[in-house]
Amino acid sequence: MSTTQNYDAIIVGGGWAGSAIAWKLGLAGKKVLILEAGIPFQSDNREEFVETFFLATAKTPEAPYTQNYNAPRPSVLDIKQIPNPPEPPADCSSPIVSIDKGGYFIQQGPMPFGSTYERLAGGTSWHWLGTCLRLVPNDFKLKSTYGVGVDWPISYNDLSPYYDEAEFEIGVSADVDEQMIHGITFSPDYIYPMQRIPPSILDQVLTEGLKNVAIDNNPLTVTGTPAGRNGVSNIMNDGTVYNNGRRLCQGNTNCTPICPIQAKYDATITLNKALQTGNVDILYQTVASNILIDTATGEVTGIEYKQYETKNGPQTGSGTATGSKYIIAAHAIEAAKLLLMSNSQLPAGVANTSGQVGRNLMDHPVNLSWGSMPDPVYPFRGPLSTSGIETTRDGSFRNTRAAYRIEIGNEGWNWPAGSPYTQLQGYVGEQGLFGQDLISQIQHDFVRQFRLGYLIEQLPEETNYIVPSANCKDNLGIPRPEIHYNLDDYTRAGFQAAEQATVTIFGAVNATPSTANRVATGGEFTYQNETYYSNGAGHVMGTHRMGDDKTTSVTDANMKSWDHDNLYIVGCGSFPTGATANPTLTMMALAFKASDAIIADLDLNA
Amino acid sequence: MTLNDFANLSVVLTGYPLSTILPQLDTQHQAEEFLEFLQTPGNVPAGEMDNLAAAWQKATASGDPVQGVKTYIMADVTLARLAQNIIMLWYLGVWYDLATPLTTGSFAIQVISGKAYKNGLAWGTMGAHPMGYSEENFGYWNTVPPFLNPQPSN
Repeated sequence: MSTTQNYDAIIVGGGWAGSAIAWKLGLAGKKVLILEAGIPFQSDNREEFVETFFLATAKTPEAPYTQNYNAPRPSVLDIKQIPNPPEPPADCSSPIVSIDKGGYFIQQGPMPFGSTYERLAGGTSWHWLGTCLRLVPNDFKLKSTYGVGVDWPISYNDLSPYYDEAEFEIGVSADVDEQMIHGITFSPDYIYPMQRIPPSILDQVLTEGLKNVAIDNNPLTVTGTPAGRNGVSNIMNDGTVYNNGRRLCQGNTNCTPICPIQAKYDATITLNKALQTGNVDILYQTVASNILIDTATGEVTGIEYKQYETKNGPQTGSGTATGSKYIIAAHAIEAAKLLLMSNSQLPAGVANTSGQVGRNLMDHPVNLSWGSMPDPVYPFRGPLSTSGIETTRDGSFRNTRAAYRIEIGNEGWNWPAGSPYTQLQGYVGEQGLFGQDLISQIQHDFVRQFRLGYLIEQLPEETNYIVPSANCKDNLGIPRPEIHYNLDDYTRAGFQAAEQATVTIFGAVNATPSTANRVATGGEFTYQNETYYSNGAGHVMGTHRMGDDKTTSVTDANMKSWDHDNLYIVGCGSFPTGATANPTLTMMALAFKASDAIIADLDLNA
Repeated sequence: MTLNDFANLSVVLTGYPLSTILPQLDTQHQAEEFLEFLQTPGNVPAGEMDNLAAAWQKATASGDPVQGVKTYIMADVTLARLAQNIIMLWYLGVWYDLATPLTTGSFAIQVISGKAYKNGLAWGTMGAHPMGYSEENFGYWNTVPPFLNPQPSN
């Protein structure tokens, strides 16, 4: 057992938010220690990860990153329909066997939670798509505008300068004029670091075909999706050409699960910059296991951790990290789990006077629609997605049903139906095609494949929650997340609207819906006698929400715990509502906002 | 089975020319890797590769190898199943359980190698590249592919 030197700040998690805050604090001269549960990242890891991906029989978002039983992560292969009542997890007395058999999550249903994350230096940025959309202003005031959900404690304008900062650090390729929808505004003369990524052929076909089509009075305008991948640099307002030192995107069509050439941003970039400030230390393979509190003052006094050397080996060390400020940046599910399992001094867990820690778990459940275009659109080329339809993200319909954005996929039926593998199996194994007949079939069918993904809003619900499992532990004896999850009628009505939109869109471009079998997701449900299928978006939000009222939220707008004056909780768990855009950019903007508050706090105490 | 026989059979099965399957300047040695895998005991039931070689001899002797493959290989349940797996090796670099029918949704047993994945013919056939392995330049996806591999015969 060891105790670390006294740092200005202890950060749990070397992923996206943790790296961003460490970098900002390091630049400000603050001494920081990061506790990273997973393995470190070295420059040759990417090649190993890519090779592991090539060799994986199931090319899942987790495929490049092998399971670490001392800091386990969920896998989409384990997401299945949940029987009623749920079956007890297999072999919980033997963590490695149990995780291999049934997965890391203890899913209690009624629906399975469909999203996953990574636990290694750089966090889930390793399997990030790269979407960098801003939220629309009404996303911040859903309750006051539409009477549903809750309002955020900040407005779009409060976050706008932090969006600028996050976009510069990530290196976002986008066009300002295209992004000004539903009241999104930019600072005067604002320019993104790089020009928008060129649209795919599918994007162009949909742009043309949907020109005069509207849904709920919103025109279906196709726009370039702001992307954290390198495009053509802009000349910034200070006259310099933007240059982040990374390569131009080569369109590997593999953003998730791994960009082989790091043309796409990932958090190891900012983590390395943090370490290079000389003020930031990191302990890898160091899993936070308990938050210590001085019950007299309410302040956090230390974070206990466990260490290991190999992914399936025993615990090899332990200690307590101490500092002035503590920042939990461990991912929405892991952060909530850590707060709740730290219950030796506070029975309800740390930072949980409101009772909201672990609750309001949200995703953007995805409705996939896929089919064939009348003419070739040449999928499996370019980034996985280059454009989307954002005009559907706001409108008076939000009184009664979820909004959605439409992501246009450049990877054919890969996500919904396992293409090209599954179709080839059918051509070769069932139809007996070979030689020129096989080539002709592929060249007719595959080049016409396309898919749309509707990312559907979810409201905060107390009944969607995670708690540390009472019985099932990981290999270090740390509880695994037990998840209770469902989709309410507001979101289900969003699926219904999405399917109606598909009829309109497919009709407008003369597309033929696919009859291919869908990959099983476990997310099957019925709504008004129709069956729908929900997929995880990987957008895990809401488990330690911020707010204006300490009785109904976990932190204030600076992501400082209402209960503990020197504790901050950051990441997508801070989101009060799921909103209508992929959350990462907003999460990083919030991390920069928290950084300013933490630095000001430290300077005040100095 | 000899390398040449395997390569010529693969030409008929895949529809790709010998210059792709067994190029004169062969930096990849993909045909060798597949043949070695097929001839490693345990991967294919004993005797089946010999039966395949014999059937291929009959197929070529007929003077029309495509019709010959239909008659002597695809009409034989066991050899057809093996031929299907050889096609999937070439197209995607993956290997399936020979004891069960190949159907939509079959789970692969293994990817033969990273090289086999990257050399998968399926991708180029549709004018694309293996997911995660692009040798193209920025923005290529904005225009139609210059050609599909190999060119359609019509």
